[in-house]
Amino acid sequence: MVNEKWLEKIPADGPFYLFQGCFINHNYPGIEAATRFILDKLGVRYFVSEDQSCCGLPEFSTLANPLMLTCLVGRNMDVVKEYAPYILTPCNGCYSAFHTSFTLMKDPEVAARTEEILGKLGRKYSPVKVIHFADFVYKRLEDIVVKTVKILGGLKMAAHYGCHYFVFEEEGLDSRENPSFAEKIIEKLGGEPVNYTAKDECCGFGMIQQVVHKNMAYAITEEKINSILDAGAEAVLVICPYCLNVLDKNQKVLRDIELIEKAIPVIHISQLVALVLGADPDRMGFEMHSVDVKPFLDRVEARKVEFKGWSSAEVAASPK
Amino acid sequence: MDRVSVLLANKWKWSLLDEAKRWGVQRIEECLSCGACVGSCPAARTSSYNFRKIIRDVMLGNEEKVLSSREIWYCFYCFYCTSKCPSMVEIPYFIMRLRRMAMERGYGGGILRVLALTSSNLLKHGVSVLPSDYDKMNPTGAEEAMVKLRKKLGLPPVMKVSEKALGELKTIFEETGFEGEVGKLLSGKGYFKEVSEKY
Repeated sequence: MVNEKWLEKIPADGPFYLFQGCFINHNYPGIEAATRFILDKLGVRYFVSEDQSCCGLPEFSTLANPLMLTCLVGRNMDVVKEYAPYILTPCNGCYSAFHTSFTLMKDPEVAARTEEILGKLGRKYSPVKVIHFADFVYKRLEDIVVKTVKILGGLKMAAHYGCHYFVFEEEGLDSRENPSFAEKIIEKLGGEPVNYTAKDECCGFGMIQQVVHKNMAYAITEEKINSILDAGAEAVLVICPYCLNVLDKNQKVLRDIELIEKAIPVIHISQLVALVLGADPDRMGFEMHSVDVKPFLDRVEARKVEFKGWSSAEVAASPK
Repeated sequence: MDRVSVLLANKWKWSLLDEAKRWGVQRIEECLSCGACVGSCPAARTSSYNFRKIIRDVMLGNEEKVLSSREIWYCFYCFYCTSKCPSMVEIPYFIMRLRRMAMERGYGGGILRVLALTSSNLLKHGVSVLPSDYDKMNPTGAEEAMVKLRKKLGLPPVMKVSEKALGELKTIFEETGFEGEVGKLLSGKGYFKEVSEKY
């Protein structure tokens, strides 16, 4: 169930600070291009700056240093304040970095030390509202549908939300128990959402497991992909570049050792929305995907206005 | 602490639990031992990881056993357990805390050395992932290829964190002790013991 209260609080018009996640900026520029394309199409103002740094989550999840997360998040939020009142990010990692830091700051010792360190830089820790790009798309869905020039011709799509989208303390747009907003986006854009058993499970990345215990990561991706294939999906929709990377790249390995029957294209929500809004498929950065996205692109059709014959009223009104 | 807690702490060695209970993790004693966490856990399906065993050893104060083992490094940090837990115990934060405590006691060698490689990117460039981490076949030309691709997509070149920001980051790295940790890990000297495979 979509949380209406959360939806109300999402600013529809920005202006946003578009947070430059390392993974998108350096590995999946297609997501950045698509995000900027959508914001321009909707006439939403956004800012970027080279004064920001990494979000800090990789440092917390690897070397478990809480101060690295709170200090980097605190500094980034202070930088953002000079530009815009809200942060917009198409990455679950960056999104959860901010929310994790809010939790860690409840520890008085961590909070005091963070304030002390940021004080040395002449900065202070003051929270900024962070909006996930998927939330923004859902908020502006009606406007997007009006502006679409293409449509998913009944393409069967499975949505994968990714673990770090769900913020426990403050709920978020949807709960982890059977979330549904991405399915509504697929439906509105002309696709057919499919439900599958492993929907709320991890992609296999496991923060460090893709590096430390690879066999565990592959086993979880295998479960996930097989569940998606069993449900008859033709493409996977993700809202996080890390999930995109793991689901996409791991399929290549799983396919080589024949643990999955076929490979399935994985698409980020920004790429999907930009495509139906008329963006050039050559400029969506699909070069970086390892599974061929052509079967998906073939199903994105030009939107035709359906003609169902004249209605009886129109026939009666037409000159004889 | 009150008198009863002190006596219990001495008897049951609850100091480990108290030390582990930080970073917003408050509800750890409310574990009902119901097993919903293990039943939903991706790590439990693919390894010997069993959070109920870990929590029992923490309660009993088996410090060396918990902190020296590989068990605490299996968590996927996916929070599936928390969403299933009737007591809403934030297990992944708790595991992160245990990992931190393991590091502080000099455990986690091999695993941490691999993880520190990403951190060295942050120390130098202010970002954690570089094009060369992705394009392993072409590490030297990776950035150039990425700049070319970004140009094709109509984007500015890859983000370079400004000198001013790097200066501020340098202070953060020193103050948080992060620079020292990464340095020790990458030096190759035996500051950290290897994890124990037995549990």
